[in-house]
Amino acid sequence: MPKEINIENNTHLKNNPFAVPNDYFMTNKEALENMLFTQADFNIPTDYFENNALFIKTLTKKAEQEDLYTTPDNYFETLSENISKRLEEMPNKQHQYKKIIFINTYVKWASIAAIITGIILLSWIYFFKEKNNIYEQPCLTIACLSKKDVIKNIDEFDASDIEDVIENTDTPPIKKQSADTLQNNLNETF
Amino acid sequence: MENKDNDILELFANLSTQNQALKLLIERYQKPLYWQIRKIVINHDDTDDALQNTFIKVWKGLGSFNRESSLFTWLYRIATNEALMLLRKRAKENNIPYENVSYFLSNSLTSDPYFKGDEIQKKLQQAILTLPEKQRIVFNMKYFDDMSYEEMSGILETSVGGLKASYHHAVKKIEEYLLNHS
Repeated sequence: MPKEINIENNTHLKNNPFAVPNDYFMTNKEALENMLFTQADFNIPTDYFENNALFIKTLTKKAEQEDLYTTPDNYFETLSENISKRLEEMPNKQHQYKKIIFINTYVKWASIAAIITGIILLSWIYFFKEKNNIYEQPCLTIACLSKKDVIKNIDEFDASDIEDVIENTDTPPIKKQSADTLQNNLNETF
Repeated sequence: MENKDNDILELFANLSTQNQALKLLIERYQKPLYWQIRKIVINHDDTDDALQNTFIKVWKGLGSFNRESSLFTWLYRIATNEALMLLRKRAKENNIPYENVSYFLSNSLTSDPYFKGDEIQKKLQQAILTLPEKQRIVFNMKYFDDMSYEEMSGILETSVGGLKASYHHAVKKIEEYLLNHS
């Protein structure tokens, strides 16, 4: 499929593709002469000739609307020359254009990076606060006590409980165990 | 052309030589006016009708021709007018809105026994038929008849700038049509 078609330089297309019946112009000339010589009473609308140009304008009125905009004299003749001139001036402008693109790209990526950093920062602050909140709340179980705490406040406990309390403080964190291991432990216990 | 036409007007001015004026007028303008009309109405028979009407109007009005424009301009104006009037008449007869007359003309082109163009020439004519009426007339006058913008300006009573714009738009639209239909 061609990318461009130029009809103005195509001599083949400029040829008249219409034909007339054989000897049409010869016979028509005679017919016209006879008709005009013999028939004198043709009816022509009043003011036909006065308004003739006006008729064409009226008939083409709709199309006329497309021609409301005219161009200065020799506009199309000088158009290609003007475009060439503009193109010659283009390199400097192109450089500027590239700069603008660079700035725009930089701003875009900087904005995205800022947003991501912001999200990470907020998430971190949120989770950090949550974590602190957990530790800030009173534990209220023996597991939260250390042996040092028990020794420090030994007077607070009953003598009979001290041994159990000491045994259950500083509890190591529960390790993740498999189901089999847990089952074995249970079997050993009971 | 204007100087040439003075002989017709001088012959017509004398009652005894009016028939010679008519013969000369028909001889000189029969073909150019036929082709002007034909490119607007497409069909040969319709062109024949419009051409006859044109010469009737010319013959009846030649006495009142005031030489404000050239005879050439005046004749082309009447021929163009007659062609457009005939299109209106055909649209009315076929009960189609005038805006859709191009479909009627496209069919007329396809069935015209006096169209001798090849496929690309037919495509060009179909592209021309898609144009608004005035652009179509301007394009035909410039492209096929190589008429000057000044002459066209006199016939269509439009500024030279306007005609150039019309022609330019017409060429672009036709090239686009041909590109899309190739």
